[in-house]
Amino acid sequence: MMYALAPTAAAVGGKAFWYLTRASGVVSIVLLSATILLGIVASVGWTSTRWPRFLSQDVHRNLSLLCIGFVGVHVVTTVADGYVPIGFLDVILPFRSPYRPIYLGLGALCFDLLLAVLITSALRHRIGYGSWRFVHWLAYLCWPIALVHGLGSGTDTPLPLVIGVEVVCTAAVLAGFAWRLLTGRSLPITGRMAAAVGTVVVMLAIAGFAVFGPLRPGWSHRSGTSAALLHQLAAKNGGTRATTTTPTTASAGATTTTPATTPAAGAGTGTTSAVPQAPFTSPVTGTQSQTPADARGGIQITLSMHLQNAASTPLTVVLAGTQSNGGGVSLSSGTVTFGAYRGQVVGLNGGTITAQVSDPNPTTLVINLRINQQSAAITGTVTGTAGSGSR
Amino acid sequence: MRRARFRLVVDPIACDGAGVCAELFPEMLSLDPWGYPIIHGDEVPDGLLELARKATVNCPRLALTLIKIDK
Repeated sequence: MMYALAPTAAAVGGKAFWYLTRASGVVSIVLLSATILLGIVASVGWTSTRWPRFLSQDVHRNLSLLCIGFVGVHVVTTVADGYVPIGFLDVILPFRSPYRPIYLGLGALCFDLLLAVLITSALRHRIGYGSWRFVHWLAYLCWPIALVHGLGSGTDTPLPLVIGVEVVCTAAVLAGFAWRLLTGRSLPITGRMAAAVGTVVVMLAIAGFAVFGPLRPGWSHRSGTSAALLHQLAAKNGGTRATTTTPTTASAGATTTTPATTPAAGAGTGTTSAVPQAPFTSPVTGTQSQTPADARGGIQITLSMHLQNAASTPLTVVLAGTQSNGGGVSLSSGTVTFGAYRGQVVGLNGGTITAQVSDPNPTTLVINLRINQQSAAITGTVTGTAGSGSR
Repeated sequence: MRRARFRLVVDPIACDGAGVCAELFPEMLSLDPWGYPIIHGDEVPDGLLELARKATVNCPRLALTLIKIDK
């Protein structure tokens, strides 16, 4: 495990914690959903000849421990990543982090609830059935909180894979909950009706939140992160880029500003330079330009580049997004023009842009860029691999 | 010093007849027609004590307990 992790950490350039945080978060919601489903199976008392009742309980317990393990990884890597200031106190005490306080706070709240459920389950024989049972009901509360936490603070929310996972988990848990309400003996019919209506209302609210919140562009600036922190993060990104690249880009920028093509559509229609066959790695140079913010804060950043190969293949990336008051930019979509072919930007992480073009062959382009903030000159490398990548 | 001896006790009010205990410890527990446990024998033999403990821990209603026999 560690052996496999080591090269990964090197390959992602110290972003291993960041990747672990996101992945363990998604795995946690899947495990939490499965745990709840098994808990429902156990409490409904469903059995068959091949599935004795103690099996539901055992799998429920073991899955819940696995889930808490992944939540532990999720929490520790979030704090250890250090890109945004999230401390160990923010893990326990909700709603005090400067970064997306509400949605990160829901995660902390969920963590507290999970700990409460874990501790009371471990001490079940000491505290008695009634108290254990009462606290255990909180697990039902935990799930929607975890879902909203994932939607609101997860940076991968718009990815089709993540949406798919969340839809499947939601459908499974809702089906289980409906089954629980239909067979529940411990609650009167009015209580069960109220729980059903409440669930429908909450789930509609969550769906509405997802559609109008995180799935709309510019969420990172509407999610409550303080303007001061956004400004700080923008400065951090600009600062590191400027300091690491000034010596090289100053000269490279001067020589490469001349071949800059007309921005945006120009590269696709005008020039039909040969596109290198994947796999390839080539240095790129170019310039960055940016449109002024429109009335709604929308901006467009154009990166006009050329590969340093014989054909001088043009590579243009157009990123659309919104500008915040704090000076940061939230990018929501991007297109890439590579030679005569067009594609989509599928990933943006610091100075690394991942794009996919489908013609002439499905190719994944990973573009590592350094942008000199003063001269807007770009230097970097582009790596093309065949296929649509692993995302 | 002699080892402690135990017997199984069902709390008939707490028990709701889930039947987990009889699944886990059929050596000393069977179910009546309504699913409630019937205990066979008194003292739990030493070799079966771990199984008996597992059955008590897994009772969803905490209705099954191991009680020390005073002698």
